[in-house]
Amino acid sequence: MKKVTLCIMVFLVLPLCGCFGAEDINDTAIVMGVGFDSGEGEYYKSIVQTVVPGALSDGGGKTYSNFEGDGKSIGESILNSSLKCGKYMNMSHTSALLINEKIAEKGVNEIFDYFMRDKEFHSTITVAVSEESAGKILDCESKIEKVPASNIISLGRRFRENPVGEEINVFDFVSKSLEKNSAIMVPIVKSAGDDISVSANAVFKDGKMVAKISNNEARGILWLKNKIEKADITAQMEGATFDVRIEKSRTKLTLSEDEEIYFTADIDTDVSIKRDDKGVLNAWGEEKVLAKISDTIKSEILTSLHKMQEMGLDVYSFEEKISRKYPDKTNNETFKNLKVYVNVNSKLRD
Amino acid sequence: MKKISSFEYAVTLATVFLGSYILANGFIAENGQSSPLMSMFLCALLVPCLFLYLKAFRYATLFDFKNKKGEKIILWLYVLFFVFLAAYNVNTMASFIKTYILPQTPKYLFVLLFTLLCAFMASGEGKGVLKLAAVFFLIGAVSEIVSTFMLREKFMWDTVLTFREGNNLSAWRNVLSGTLMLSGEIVAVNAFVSFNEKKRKKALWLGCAVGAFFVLLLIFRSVAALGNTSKIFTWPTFEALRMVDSRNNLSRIETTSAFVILSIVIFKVGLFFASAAEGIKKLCPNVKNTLFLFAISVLVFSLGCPDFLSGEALLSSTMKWGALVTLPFVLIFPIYFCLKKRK
Repeated sequence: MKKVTLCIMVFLVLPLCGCFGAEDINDTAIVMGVGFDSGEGEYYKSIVQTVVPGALSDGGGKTYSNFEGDGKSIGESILNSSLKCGKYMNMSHTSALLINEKIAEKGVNEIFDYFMRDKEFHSTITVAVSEESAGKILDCESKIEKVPASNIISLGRRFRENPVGEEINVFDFVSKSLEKNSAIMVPIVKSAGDDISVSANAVFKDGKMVAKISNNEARGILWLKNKIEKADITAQMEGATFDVRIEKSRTKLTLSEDEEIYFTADIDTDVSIKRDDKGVLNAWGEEKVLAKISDTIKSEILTSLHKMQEMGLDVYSFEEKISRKYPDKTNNETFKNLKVYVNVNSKLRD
Repeated sequence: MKKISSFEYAVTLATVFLGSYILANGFIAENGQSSPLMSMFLCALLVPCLFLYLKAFRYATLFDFKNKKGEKIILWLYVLFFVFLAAYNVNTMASFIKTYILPQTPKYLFVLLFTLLCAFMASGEGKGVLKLAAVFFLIGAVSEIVSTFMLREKFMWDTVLTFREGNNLSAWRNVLSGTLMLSGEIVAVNAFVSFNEKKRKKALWLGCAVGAFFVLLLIFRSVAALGNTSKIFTWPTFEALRMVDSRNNLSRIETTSAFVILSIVIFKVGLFFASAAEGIKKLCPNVKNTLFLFAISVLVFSLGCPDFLSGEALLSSTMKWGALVTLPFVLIFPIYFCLKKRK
């Protein structure tokens, strides 16, 4: 009996303490997403999106409210937005962080530092950059999602089908920032009618957005990062185009040292032909068509790689990988002069 | 008097290891990505300590050495050591709960509740605490395995088992501190148990081996999930749990895990209470049980409330000075007991 009493007592310790300074659920606003626009001068403008539980449950009225606030710092702007809300803003369910491009170019270290230190925020918050004002994106009333912030959260789901960017969260961003000479790719979103779309990808280095790359270039990068699950590509053979669906892909990166350090990427893909109205498969045969598909993938990869090497933006974390294996063999030019051999092996899926 | 079975003894030891959250956090925060590797050395270094305890407490429990005046002083120091261990654990856990789970609640309330609960655990027959170990071990072990399973998607395999972080001297100092601090907790269990049976020896090794497995698992999964950010968090083991987010499902399970962490640490503190109480009982047989439990509670409450240092600084200085504080209790005095028995 004593054991049972004791176990109950142990498990009651937290709930008993929880009554102290408790916030009533009716006085609490659940925050789903936070956006940042640049305000006047050096000011930040924060947009805090909360859900309206009543509208969510009965299906009537607006399901969310956006509260804006200005401040010299991130914290101040969020606090000022909570003044307009009139309720205690519970940040622990925040799942989307949207940063306006102008702020991204100035630097985002302050934002990420705030999000990592504040224990109410989780580090799994999905991050995106907005081409337009973050307020506008957080006001896109999607026909599918009930709350606009969910559009950002669903980016990962979209990328699984159409990999034109990489889902990245606060933790990933901070973790990559700590890597040696690494750059970070973050999707840029813009409003597309009621919904949002990914228009390009921002590349961050040292906490600042330093470049913008197209969706195709982003996909070229994702091949080497082993982040392609499915994809659609169009290949061309003697002027005739045909559509290919990548059903499955796996990239194995090997770091080796001969006279110099180099990477070898072995990519195995399962593909299926989705459109072949010109009869390419019959005319050229399976082997040549597969070789063409492999070449197309390889060319996509190398185009992106050369562009990133030219800009000196190591979004692949190559330098970090090298410094782990060969700590003394990296310098500022390592990534720019790095050789990467790509072997693509495509297999036709029945 | 209730007798402690070998099984209960083994489970108690494993639970004490399982409750090494505070130690693991300090260890990871100091050693970063090299923690999994260094924690293996920590476990290896425990082996000679265990051999020492097997010799020192072969025929007697810790508080059976009280014939000479000098020995009595040593045993009083042990009582203080256990009270200090209890207060340290209560203080750190209260700060942890206040930071992550219930930020609105004042710290003293947690400390008061923990202290009362531990005093209740240690009241009556002190050995009763050890009989509860199986319940806490089961909850803790299941929780740790399940949360590791849920974290597996986040593991960055290439970031673990690396030697490159930090300077070697501080890494080895942390290993030494960790070993001695864990040994200190094992000594607390020896306040009740002597090794005059063969089964007891086996139980010691088994309990420590199972416990060490869970400590390694805790450190490994935290570092594998946090990668190069392991060093920037004050509570890396908990931050790793906050990352559980299986495709937007099963997220925020850390609150449940906090209950488990808390209950295991409370068990440990209860054990330190009971060890200190056992010590006083043997040193002053005429004093009432309630009186010295009250005295211990007041001491633990007074030391448990204040924030002497920030969470980060506290864990860091524990790793720095832990070895120095625990050294006499886990090595010097047991060696003395060992030599005394030989004579």
